[in-house]
Amino acid sequence: MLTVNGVTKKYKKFVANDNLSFTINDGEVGILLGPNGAGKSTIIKSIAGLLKYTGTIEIDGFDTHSLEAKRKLGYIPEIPALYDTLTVDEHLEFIRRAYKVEDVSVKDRLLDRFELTDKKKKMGKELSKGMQQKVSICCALMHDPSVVIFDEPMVGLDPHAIKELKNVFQELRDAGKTVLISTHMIDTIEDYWDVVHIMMNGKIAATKHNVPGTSDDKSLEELFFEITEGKA
Amino acid sequence: MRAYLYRLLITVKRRPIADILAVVGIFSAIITVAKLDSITINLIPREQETILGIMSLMLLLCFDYAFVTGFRSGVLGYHPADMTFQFAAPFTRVFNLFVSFPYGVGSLVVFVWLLCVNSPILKWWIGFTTADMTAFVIEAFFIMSVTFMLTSFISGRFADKIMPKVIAVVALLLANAVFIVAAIVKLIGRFGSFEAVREQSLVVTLSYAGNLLWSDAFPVAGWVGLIYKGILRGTYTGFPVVIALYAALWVLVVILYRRGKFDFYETAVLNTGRILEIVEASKAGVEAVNTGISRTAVVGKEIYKRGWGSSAFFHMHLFENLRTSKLFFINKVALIYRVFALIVLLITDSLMPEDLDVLVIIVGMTTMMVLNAIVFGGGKTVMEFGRPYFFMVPEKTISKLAMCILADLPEMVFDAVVCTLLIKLVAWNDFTLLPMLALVIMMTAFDLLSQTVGIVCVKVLRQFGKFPMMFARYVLILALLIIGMVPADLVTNGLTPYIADSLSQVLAVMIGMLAITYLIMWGIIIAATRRLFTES
Repeated sequence: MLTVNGVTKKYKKFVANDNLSFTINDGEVGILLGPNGAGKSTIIKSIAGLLKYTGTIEIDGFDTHSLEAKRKLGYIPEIPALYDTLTVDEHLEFIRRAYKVEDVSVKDRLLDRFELTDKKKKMGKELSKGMQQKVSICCALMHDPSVVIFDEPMVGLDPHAIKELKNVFQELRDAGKTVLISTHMIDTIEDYWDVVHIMMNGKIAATKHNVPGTSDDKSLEELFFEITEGKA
Repeated sequence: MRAYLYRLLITVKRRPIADILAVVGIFSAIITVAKLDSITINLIPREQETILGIMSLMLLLCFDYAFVTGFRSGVLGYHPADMTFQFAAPFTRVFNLFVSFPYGVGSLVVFVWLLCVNSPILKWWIGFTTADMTAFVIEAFFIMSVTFMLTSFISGRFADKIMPKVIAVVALLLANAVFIVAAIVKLIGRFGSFEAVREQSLVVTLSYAGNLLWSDAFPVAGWVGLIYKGILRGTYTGFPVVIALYAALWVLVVILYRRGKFDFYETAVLNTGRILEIVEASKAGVEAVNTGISRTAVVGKEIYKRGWGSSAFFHMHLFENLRTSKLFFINKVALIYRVFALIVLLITDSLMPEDLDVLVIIVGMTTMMVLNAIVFGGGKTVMEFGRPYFFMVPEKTISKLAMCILADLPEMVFDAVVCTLLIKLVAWNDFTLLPMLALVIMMTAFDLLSQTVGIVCVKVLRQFGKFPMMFARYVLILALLIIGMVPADLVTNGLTPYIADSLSQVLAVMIGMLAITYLIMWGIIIAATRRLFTES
């Protein structure tokens, strides 16, 4: 479970996140939706423990900066940051060793899953951005985290990889994991979200739950434009 | 043109600290050169031929530096915005080649600036005057400008071809090699034997070499240098030939630039694309430091299979280094600085009496350490801050940080061995095995300390910009260098009467104590700053 409580992040005088609070439960896919500059990436990085902030963020009850929280968290950054001269296979081996994952076979399973087996001898700098993103996702899933956060994961991926990634979201949810995705592409999330937080100017402007069997009067897209443009 | 100047002006306006530093830098150079004549200390009495000979060699260096710097033009030095506002806009390729010039020209200016601000050394040493230094700067300008234009042409014209650049560099090396060999032969002829040449002071050999016909005939640098030589010697007969040769070079430059077909866009776009990625990564908060443009790595049969937890970082860095080059431990920048240190060592040696080798050792050691404050300023660990893994891996920050820094150890040890051997070369008798071993350990410890301070400065001060950060880092490392000497000196003074009965033992104790002090300081800094590295 991911709990964000009263988180504020400032860059000098600019408030990137203003007293944010939300919870994503186990087995839920949460979406942070918002225009560019809304503060989505900032809160994602704060959850990953990469930024200083005020407030509390807990991963399964552990403070996000603690080693326990880090063991339970998988993070896929917006821009894949791979090692130039390590191959795909070596990236996964490095992460396996750094996270002390005993099971060697998990590496091949991930490579196979993301169709990277034939690219496993390619170095990071030789990969396209989409391929780098796939490696980044494999690295984040290597240690079987219970909370996985994705920062704009669809950017740079081809349609097949997007489809595969959506399957990953579903599988993670079915396995009882907590998933949080930040995106500004409404059309890519319509079919798998459980809760959407629409962000605007560093705040959560609206929250919408996807409850099966109920029909809201406004679609996600209508709600988004109503908030961001002031009209439906 | 006006649009480009507008962009340039905006950039200058937006960087007030860099502008202030540039103005301060220019004034410091002007004042230093202008005040040379007011310095009264002069170790060797001024002799006209000595000045001219050494100035000739300095001009040769300027030529070499401008020659190499020109190769950056057209392929490096573009801002990602140049792709849109210059390459795709209705400007000629020649004009767009000029757009990359500030990068190389800036480097040339800094080179001349460094020589100017260090000109008091030339005054103290051999009596350089303000007039000498002014003449040098003017001649350097003429030499560097035309040389830079010529090699920039080669770079822009043959951006995607290697052979023309290889030929040019071979020609440069050949010209230098011919000069050096000719100078050695002439020196042996003048003094009778190689041993006799070695016995001469550095000033005598350098000034003799600089005044040879081979020096005057050296392309561009030798010709232009003849002007000041002619003025001081009162021989003006060669002036028309020199002026005609120099003018012919500029005519050649104009013809080449007017008729040349430049095709550097693709190479420039590729290089700038990489820079663009770094800029984008920086915006996303994952600041990358390494441009990686010149690095070559090939996947071989090597297998990455070591490390567990934090030590995975150590083994991964070593593995990456090995893949990049089997000689990864040779730091090219450090080697260049070692050449400078060797010159300082030779000058010190030539000034000191025979029985004061210990002072040469101390001066040499301190020079090496001061230069290492620049060389070891962060290393590959800094690049880890551009990726999430350093922060995400569930291990203690202190152990991850130490493991990353220790991966640079082979580079540091090699550098320490080079420093030690250079000092041994100059102070052969007094610098025995024991102090040599102590120096290798001490230099390694100091490099570890410098690397760590560099990393801390990147983490804390990068928001203030590159120059303030580098300046603060340099001052901090120098302060630690000096602070470390205090306890080492106290302990050495206390222990020496009991454990040391020879000069080499005293040296070994002193250097060994320094090593221990710097290692302790390294540990303290790592432990004290570990919290800085928990977030990116």
